[in-house]
Amino acid sequence: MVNTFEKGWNPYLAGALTGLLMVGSVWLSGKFFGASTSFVRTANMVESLVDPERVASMAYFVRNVPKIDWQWLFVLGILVGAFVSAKLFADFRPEAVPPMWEARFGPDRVKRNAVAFAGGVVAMFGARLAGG
Amino acid sequence: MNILIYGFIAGILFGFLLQRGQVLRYEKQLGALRLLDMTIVKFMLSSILWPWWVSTSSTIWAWPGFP
Repeated sequence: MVNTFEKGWNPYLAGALTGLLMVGSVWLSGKFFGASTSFVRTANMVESLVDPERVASMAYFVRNVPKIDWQWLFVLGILVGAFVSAKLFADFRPEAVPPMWEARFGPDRVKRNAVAFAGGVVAMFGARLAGG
Repeated sequence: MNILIYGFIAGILFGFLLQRGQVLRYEKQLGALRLLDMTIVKFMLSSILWPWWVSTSSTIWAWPGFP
């Protein structure tokens, strides 16, 4: 298979198809695309294993029961679909330290991972603060 | 149960398209934040405008009073 890395599809085309997919999803299942609630639910599920009483007593978890729902499988599907897509088109490429990062902050993996983790915390906090 | 399968299928297709559009790449994500790379902007605007165009262009002629 030809190496299509750094080519991919035209973003206008991929975006248009995604738009039609969003319409189809709402049409078929009445669900709008979202992701961040599933991360909260997963955290709840893990916490339920450790301290179920605390989870049962928290108002947020009473309202948003930790369970596997449409969106949870949607998020899982994104991982699967992206992996299959990357493998099929031969642009799967694990990258510990991206070149753009390395050019500015150096090749240290620990530093890179720490900042990525902190960035994830900020992004998730913001997503939940904005309601998803 | 059906609704869960719909979610999984929608996710697979969405992930497939995100990867094909290259918008999952670190360079694209950070490029968008640094205003160096408009791939994600093109992808997002296209995903919003295309369904809007399809839905309006098919109904706009039926609007009462449309010239």
